[in-house]
Amino acid sequence: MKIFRCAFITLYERDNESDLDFAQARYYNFKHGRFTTVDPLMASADIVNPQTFNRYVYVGNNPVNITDPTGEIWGSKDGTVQWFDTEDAMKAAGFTAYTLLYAFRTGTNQMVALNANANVAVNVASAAAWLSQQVSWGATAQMLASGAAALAGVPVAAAALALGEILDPAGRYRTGQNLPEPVRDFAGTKQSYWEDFLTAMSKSKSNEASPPSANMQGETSPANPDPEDNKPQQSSVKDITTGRSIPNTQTNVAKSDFVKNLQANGYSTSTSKDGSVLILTKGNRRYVVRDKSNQGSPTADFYMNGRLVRKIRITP
Amino acid sequence: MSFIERKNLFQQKQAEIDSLITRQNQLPEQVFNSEISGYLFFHFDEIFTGEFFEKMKSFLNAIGEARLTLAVIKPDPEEYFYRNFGKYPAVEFSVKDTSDDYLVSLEENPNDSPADALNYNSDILVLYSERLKWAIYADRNFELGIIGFKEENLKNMFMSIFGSDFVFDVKDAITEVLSLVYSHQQKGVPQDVINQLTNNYSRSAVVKTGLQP
Repeated sequence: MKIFRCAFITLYERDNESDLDFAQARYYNFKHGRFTTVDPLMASADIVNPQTFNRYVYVGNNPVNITDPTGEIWGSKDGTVQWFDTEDAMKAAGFTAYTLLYAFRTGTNQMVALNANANVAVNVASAAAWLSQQVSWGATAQMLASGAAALAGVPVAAAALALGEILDPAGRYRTGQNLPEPVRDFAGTKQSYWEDFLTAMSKSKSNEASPPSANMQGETSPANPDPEDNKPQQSSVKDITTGRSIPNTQTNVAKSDFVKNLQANGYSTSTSKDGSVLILTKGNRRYVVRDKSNQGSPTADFYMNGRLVRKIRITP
Repeated sequence: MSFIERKNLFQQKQAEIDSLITRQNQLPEQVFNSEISGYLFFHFDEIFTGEFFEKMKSFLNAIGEARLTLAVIKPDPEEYFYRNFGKYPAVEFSVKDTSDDYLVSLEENPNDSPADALNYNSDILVLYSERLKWAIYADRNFELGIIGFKEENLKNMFMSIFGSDFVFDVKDAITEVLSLVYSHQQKGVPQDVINQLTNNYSRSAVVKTGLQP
């Protein structure tokens, strides 16, 4: 089986809060599930509509120059994509360092590849079609998790969690809980669920509208960095599920940001008379946000079709 | 299925609840009255599932009872619910009700306030059946439900119907549930919470092993 792989010549700051391994690798290898990328702080982008990627020029209707789909490494120049046998060959051909991110377009099953360094997005539907013949959709999902994470400015683990909710057919759910039929269905509400999840998990800084800067090594800096805090505002997300508990997520995203992100994403709000319960609803999805009266942290219970499927522990 | 709307019926329900628990107490204190011993724990959120109601009906059928009362005792039934919505946060279910009936009643919006439906704005709930031989005390902040029994055979029946995937003992309640509740705290579950909960509810382990207290 061919391995779909791209090169990343980037550095990545490890997220000490989440202590996630993803930040240490220099490559994303789909087979091995490793990923390295910059944090483009892209929470304001809408995966559903790449036209909203305000840091990238969307050229979805342009032909894609994939010269050698049997190669292992993609290079990019002037918005085009080529395949190379090695990273050195890519550099020798004058293709600059780049970061290639992936996302899935809702309802179309088209893949969008974003060249973060060149500020160009390329529709690679043909590559997606090729990919679908080469690797299982499960492997593809891992790739999507990485891309979606980078787009949303959250750790890969966050996206993997969201996707895992949908995609992982084995053992993520409690015995007896009739949760989503497994896998390989990217259509409709399931797909948009993780988009919302990622949106909600974005820290407020990542909503800034202006683009991040990128140097020749593909490193990025946050847009309009706070002079008092130049560290990229990265969400930390951990799966802390234990034993028989429903899937549990812990995040450093503040409650106010969490709610704001959902509201910005079209969720309507209802508050109890005593103000202790906040419900955010969009279609068949519902987040119920509460403060704890004891020493626990605020929680957001996520319901899908009326069923509680995940408990998110957010920051006061 | 019927919501409790008349004050005298609500007062009767309150008297029944007071015969089972001490409303002034709260976890990790002992909340059950002294006649109840032997405890099992479960995840708080299970209460709001159709599976829970179906199993509860099986349990009631097995012990020869026909009606289940579910009542919210926090927020305050009168000061909050009745004052704002003109109804009490208590429902009586029959074993003939379906799980859909159950879920619909818990989702019912009082005065078009969805966030005040019973399955959302309910910090502490009590469930019990007519003969008052057992009770569930469920605390949303601790994310735990505790079932207390007056008779050993009821515990065994409950265990056999709900199964070990559903119920657990106080040790698992601390390691599996409270560890998540306090996950943001560096020291984890406070020691006094562990001590009190263990001292007050450790007899639940007896049920799992089948040993006599």
